[in-house]
Amino acid sequence: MSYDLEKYRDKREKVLGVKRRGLSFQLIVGVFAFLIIFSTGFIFIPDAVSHFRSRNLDDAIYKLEKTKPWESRIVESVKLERGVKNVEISAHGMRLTLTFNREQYSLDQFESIVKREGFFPILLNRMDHNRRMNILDEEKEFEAL
Amino acid sequence: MHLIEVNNISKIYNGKRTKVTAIKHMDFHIDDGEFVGIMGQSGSGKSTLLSIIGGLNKPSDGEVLIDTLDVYGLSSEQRTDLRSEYIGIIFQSFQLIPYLTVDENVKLPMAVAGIKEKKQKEMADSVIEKVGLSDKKTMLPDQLSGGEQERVAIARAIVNNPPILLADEPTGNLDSQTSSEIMDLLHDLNKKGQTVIMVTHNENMLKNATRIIRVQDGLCVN
Repeated sequence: MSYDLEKYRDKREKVLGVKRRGLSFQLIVGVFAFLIIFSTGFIFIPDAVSHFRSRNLDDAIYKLEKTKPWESRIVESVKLERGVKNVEISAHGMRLTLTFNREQYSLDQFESIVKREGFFPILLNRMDHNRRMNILDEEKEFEAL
Repeated sequence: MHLIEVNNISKIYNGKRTKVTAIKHMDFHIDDGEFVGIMGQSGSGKSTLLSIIGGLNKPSDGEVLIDTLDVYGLSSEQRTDLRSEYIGIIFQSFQLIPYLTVDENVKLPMAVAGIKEKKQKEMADSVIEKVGLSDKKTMLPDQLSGGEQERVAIARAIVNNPPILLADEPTGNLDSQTSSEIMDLLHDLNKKGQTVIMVTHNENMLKNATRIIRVQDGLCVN
């Protein structure tokens, strides 16, 4: 009688620990997990990178004594300072927002530059840059309603 | 090639002073679907031979192949898997767990094999029905007759659907009527494709066997 080697192939492979044919449950779960991470990565990874890069930034909002508008030469000279990320003046020219790396730059340095130009700056507010950006986004959404 | 190949096996038990040779250079094969009887007097080595085929007793020499797998060349974990996949064993003394019900005794090998509970219930119900004990599922072994306990042992042995069924004197403790019923059940299983190897010293039980291997003093005599 000829012996049918195929009859108990599954049992033989199970005993020998040979990889079974077809897709295993673990492989399917792995593929789905990869697809989810890969697809949502486009959404979450840029945010995470951006947050990481701006984690040491602070925003300081200043006005000038006697409610004078800010002069552009002050803005240009502050922009050249190491650790200053951005300097913005409001539409009416009365508020200056300084974005800086708190580990590289201090507000004393900023104030001394302004005083050297013959002005006296008054600090209105100082907060974490990311937090301020969130507040501005929320305000925009609120205004759009 | 055959389902079971026994190649020149010997088994020697080494005592402190004596050395007993239970099996001497046995060499035979069993094909898929056979009903083979192993006959011999008490102490002739037939139960030792059965335990060697069942992967429970390493021979001192030779090899046993099941479906081309070298039983004693496998790791112990692989051999455990081989027993679980290929072999069901029925013992003369039934070996039922006394504090588990019929249903729980039958489910035990499946629980060990990690089969899910729902599947365990389906398979246990099916084999308990096959051995005719559907109305006694919740009973404990000592509430059953000898024949019924033997049926539970058979149900437990076949629940994983092993291709090989080893029976060591399955009718040894039963009256002739019950023995005949158990033999009918084993022949039914054999007709449905299971290879049965049965050890006995009662030739009447083997009148429908496809082959008889006679063992005497550790040797195959025919």
